Amino acid sequence: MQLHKCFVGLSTCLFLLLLIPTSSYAEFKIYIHGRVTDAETGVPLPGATVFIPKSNIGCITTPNGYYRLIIPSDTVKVTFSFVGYENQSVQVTKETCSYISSEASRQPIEVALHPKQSEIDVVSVYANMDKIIRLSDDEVSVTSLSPKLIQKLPNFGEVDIMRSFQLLPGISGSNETSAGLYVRGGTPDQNLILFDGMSVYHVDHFYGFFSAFNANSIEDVKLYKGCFPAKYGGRLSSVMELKGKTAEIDQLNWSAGLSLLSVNGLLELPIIKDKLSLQLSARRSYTDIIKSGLYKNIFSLYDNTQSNNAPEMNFGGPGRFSQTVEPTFYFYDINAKLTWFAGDKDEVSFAFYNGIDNLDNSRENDFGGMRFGETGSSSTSTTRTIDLSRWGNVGASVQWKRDWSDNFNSQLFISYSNYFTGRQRGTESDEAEQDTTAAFGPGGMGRSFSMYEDNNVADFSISLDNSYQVNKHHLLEFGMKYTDVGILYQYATNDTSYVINTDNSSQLIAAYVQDKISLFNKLDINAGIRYTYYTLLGNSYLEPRLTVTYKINDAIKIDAGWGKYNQYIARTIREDIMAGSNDFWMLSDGENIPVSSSYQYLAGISYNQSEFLLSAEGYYKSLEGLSEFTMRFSNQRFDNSSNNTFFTGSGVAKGIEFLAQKKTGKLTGWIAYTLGSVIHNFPDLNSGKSFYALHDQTQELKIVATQSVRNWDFSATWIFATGTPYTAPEGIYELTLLDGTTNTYIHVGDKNAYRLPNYNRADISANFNFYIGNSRAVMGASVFNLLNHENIWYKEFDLDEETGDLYETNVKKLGFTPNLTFKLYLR
Amino acid sequence: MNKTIVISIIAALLLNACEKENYSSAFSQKIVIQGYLYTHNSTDSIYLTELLPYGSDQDEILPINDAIVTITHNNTEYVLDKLKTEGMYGNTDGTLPILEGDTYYLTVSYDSYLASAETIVPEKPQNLKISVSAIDFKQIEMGFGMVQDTTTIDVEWDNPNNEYFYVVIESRDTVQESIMLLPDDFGGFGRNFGQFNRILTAPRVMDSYSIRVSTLEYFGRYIVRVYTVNPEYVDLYETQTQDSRNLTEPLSNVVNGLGVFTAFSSDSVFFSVNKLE
Repeated sequence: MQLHKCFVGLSTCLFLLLLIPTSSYAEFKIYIHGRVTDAETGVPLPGATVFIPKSNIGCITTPNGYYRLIIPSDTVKVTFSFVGYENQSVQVTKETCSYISSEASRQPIEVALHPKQSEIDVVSVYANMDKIIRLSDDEVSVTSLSPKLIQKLPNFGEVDIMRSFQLLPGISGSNETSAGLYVRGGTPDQNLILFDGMSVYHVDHFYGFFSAFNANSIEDVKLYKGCFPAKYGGRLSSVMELKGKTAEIDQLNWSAGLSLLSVNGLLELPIIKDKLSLQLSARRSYTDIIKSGLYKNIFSLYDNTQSNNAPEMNFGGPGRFSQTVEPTFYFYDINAKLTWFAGDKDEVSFAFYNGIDNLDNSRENDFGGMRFGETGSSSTSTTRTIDLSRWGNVGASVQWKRDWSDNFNSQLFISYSNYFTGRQRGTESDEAEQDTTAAFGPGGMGRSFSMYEDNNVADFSISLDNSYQVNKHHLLEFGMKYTDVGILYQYATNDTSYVINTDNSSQLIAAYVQDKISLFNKLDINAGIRYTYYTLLGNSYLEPRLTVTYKINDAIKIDAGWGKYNQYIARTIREDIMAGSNDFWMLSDGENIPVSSSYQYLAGISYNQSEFLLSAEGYYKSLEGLSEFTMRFSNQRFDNSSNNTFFTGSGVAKGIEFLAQKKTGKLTGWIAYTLGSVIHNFPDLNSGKSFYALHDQTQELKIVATQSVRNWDFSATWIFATGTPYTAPEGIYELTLLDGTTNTYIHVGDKNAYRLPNYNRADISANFNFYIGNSRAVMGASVFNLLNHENIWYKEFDLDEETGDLYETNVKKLGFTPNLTFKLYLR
Repeated sequence: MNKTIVISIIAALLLNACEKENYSSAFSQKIVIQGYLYTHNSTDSIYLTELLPYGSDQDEILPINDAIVTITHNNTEYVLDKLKTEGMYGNTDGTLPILEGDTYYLTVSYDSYLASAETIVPEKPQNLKISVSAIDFKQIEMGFGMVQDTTTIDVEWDNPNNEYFYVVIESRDTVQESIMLLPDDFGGFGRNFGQFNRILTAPRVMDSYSIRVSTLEYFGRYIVRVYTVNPEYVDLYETQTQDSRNLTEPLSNVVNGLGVFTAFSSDSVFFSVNKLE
C-alpha cells in the first residue's frame, strides 16, 4: 500500500514538472542539426553541449552524437562543448538552417572537437548555459577522466585508469594492493562498475597492482562519487561507467606498447567505411617467461613461500627441509568491440571482455622419504605441494542505441558477466591424478587440501534506458533492468568439510524514473525514484534520490544531494588476523548476509574559473546491513559453523574533501585533501564497541603536477595518508581445565584498535615523444616510491602454539621501483 | 572566495565534532578469571590473574591478590576471602550454598577494572545407571600376539535436552594391582603406557558412556562421576587450541575480562573390577 502511495506521489510530481511552461521556446521557427565527433578518432560524442553563448538556448547530443537545436535567427554563432575537449564555435548560415514548417532538412553542421590538454575536469552544472562545462552530466559529485592523458602520470608499469582515479579527493590513494576504489568511506564492492553495460565484479590484475581494464581500450570513464541518480542501483557507494573504445570508422589504426611486465596492442579496423568498425585490444604479461626486477619486486609482496619481508629465522631439528620455488604467474586481457552505425538513428555494438590471472605456486617435494609396502620393502615417495590460484572476468554485451526522434532516444543493453576466483592449497602424492590444472575441487585420490576456496559470480542482465528531452530545461529519463545473478562460494580448511558452502541465485527486477529540471537559470533539480524487487527474499525496495544545484554567480555554485541506496550482493570480508584479510561475493540471504542499505547526504561548494578550480564537498553516509565473516569466534559446539562466523552491523562514513586544480599553463595539476572517518558497529563483535573500519583513513593529501617542455612530459605525484587500522594479539593468559591441564591462550585486542604507520609515497615520471618515420612513439620512465619510504601493508603474526610466543612481521608495500615503457602508434 | 574557505572550515569542524561513542582502544589490562563451582561443595576455586602483554618486561603471568571478589546468590552478596594460594579466593566459612538451578553472579573489582560473570548451576544427570556393579576380569599379559579384550561396563543417564556432560572414572583403592602385566624385561619405560588412574572425557552431548575394562589401570573399586556441563565451559574447551593460521579468540562468559566462570553438577555410580584367577 505504501509502495502504491509512493508511486502515485512521484507520478504526480513528475506530471507537474512536465507542465512547467518553457517561456519563449516555441516561438522559434528554425533549427540546426548535425553530429559532434572526436576530431582524432571520428567517434561520436554523446552528451556534448550545443548552445548559443549569452542566451538560454542549448541542447545536448544524443548517444550517437546527433543534435537538433532550435535557434532564434539564422545569423547566430553556436558553440560546441564537451568535457576534455576544446570548445568550438560555428557561425550559422542560411545554408545550414532548416525550417520547422518545412519537411526539407538543410545541410547539417558536423563538428569535430579536439581533446583538451588537461587531466581532469570536475563536472559542474549551471542553469545558465553560457558557462556550462558539461551539460550532459548535470549531476553533482561526478568526476571524469581522460584515458588518453593518464599515460603522462607515473605508473607501476601499466597505464591504469583506476590508479589515476585514486589521485582524486575522496578516493583512497594508498591502497597499492587493490585496484578497487575506496570512495568516500565505501569499499570496492560498493561501487557499481559498468563496462559497456556489463557489471564488473572484480577489477584487480596482479593482486590488485593493476586494474582489469586496459586503458588502451577505454574511450571514456566517469565516476559518480556519491548520491548517484535513480538510473543506477544495486550498490551503496559510487558508480563508475566505462565506455569501451569505438574504433575509427574511416581509417585503420594500431598501436603497440611494451613495459617491464607486459606487452599490449590495439587495432582499430574499419570493416565497412562509416558503417562498421572493430576495435581489438589485448594485453599479456610475460612474467611467466621473463621475470623482470619489477615483477620480482611486486610478486615477492604476495608470495608467502618467499616472504622477503619475514625476519630470517633458522629452526633446527629433524625433518626440516628447504627448497627454492619458482612460481609461474601471468595475466592477460582481451577487449573487442564491434560497432555498427546503422543509419542516422541507430547504433549497435557488441563488446567482449576476458581477463585472467593465473598463479601456479606448486612444487615437487622429492625428499626420498620411505614408504612401507605390504612386503615390508621400502620405496621413494614423491609428493607435490599444490598451490593454484586463478581469478578473472569474462563478459559480453550487446548495446542498441536508437534515436526515435530529436528529443527521444533509447538504449538497450543485454549483457553477461562472470567473475571467478579460486585457490587450492594442499599436497598430492604420486598416486594422484597428474593433471593439476583440472577443475578446482577438494578431494581426489592421493590428494588432500589444507585450504580450498572458490567464488563464482554469474550475472545476466537486460536493461532499457529511455531519455525524453521535454525541452531544454527539462529531461525525463526512465527505464528498467532485469538481472539474474547466481553466486557460488565454497571455503574449506580441509578436504572433508566446508566452512562455507553456498550456491544461491536470484533475480532483480528494477524500474526507475528521474526528472531533471532547470528553474530560473539558477536552480537545477534532479529527482528520481528506483524500485527493485529481489526475488530471493521476495521483498520490494524503494530508493528515492534527489540532487540540487544552485548557482550563486558565474563562478560559484552550491550542490546538495540526498538519497537512499540498497545493495543485494556483498563482498564480505573474511577476517584473518594472522595473514591479512580477504573477501568474497555472496548474495544477500536475509540471514548471514542482509540486504545492506545507506542514506547519503552531501553538500558542496565550488569556485570554478577557466584557469583554476576550488571545490569543497562534505558527505555523510549511514550504512546498515554490513556483514563480516570471521573465524575468531568460531565454535564447534554449533552444528552449523556459519552461525557464529557471520556478523552483521552498521556504520557511518563521513568526511570532507577539498580540491584545488590549476587547469591551464605549462604546469598543471591539483592538490586534493580528504578528512574523513568510517566507523562500524557490530553488536556481536568487539564487545559491541564501535571500531574504525579496516579502510578508515583519517587524512589523505595528494599533490599531482604535470609539465610539458618541448617533447618531454614530466609528472610527479605525492601521497600522504594516515595509517589504516589493524587488529593485534595483545597478550597471553593461562587457564586450567578440569582434566588438570593448563593451557596458554592468546588474547586478541579490540578490533582495529591499532594503526599502521602513516603512508607516504612520491612518484615521478618522464615521457619523451618522438617519431619513427611517420609513426609517433613515446618512451617513458617512471619511478615508484622515489624516496623508498617503508609503507606497511599489514602485520603478520606467527604464533608458537606451545609457548605462546609471538613473532610480528611488518609486511611492506612496494619500495623504490623504476619502470620503463615504450609505445608506438601507427598515426 | 573567502566565503568558500570559511564554509569549508566550519563544515570540517562540524563533521569531526561529534565522535563521542565508545570505540576500540589500544591495550588495556584484563582480569582473567578461572572460576568453577561444584554443587554442594565449598567455593574455593576462584583464581584470578592478569593478562601478560606482549613486549612487556614481565616474564610470567602475575596472580591478582588484592581484588575484591563477590558472589551474589539469591540477592545475598558473599565477599570471598583471599586464600593462601596466590590469586586464589574462596568462601572459607562455607556459608555460600551451591544449589542446582540457582544463578550465581560474580564480580571482581581490581584496580580500576571491574569484571563480572554469571552462571546457572545445572541439574545433575537424571536416572544415572550402570550396567554391572562388579565384573571379573583376567589379568592381561602384554606382548606380541596379545588379543585386545573388548569387555565394557556401560553407564547411562537421561539427556532429553541434548545437554553436555563429561565423565570421570577414578580408582578408589590405595593398594592397587595392575590389570596389565608387563614382561620383566620391559623396564620402567611404558609401565603406564596407555593406562590411566583417572579417565576424564571431553564435554560432549551424550547419554551414555562405555568403559572398556582393558583401558583401566588397576583391579579394584571405581567411582564414575557424570557431570552436567554448562555451555560456557564447552566454549572454553572447544577453543583451547588456537591455530596460528587463523587465530581465534577463546570464547568467554566474562564481561570486561577473560576466562570462565561456570558451575557443574554431578551424580555418581560405582563398580569394581575383580581379578579372575
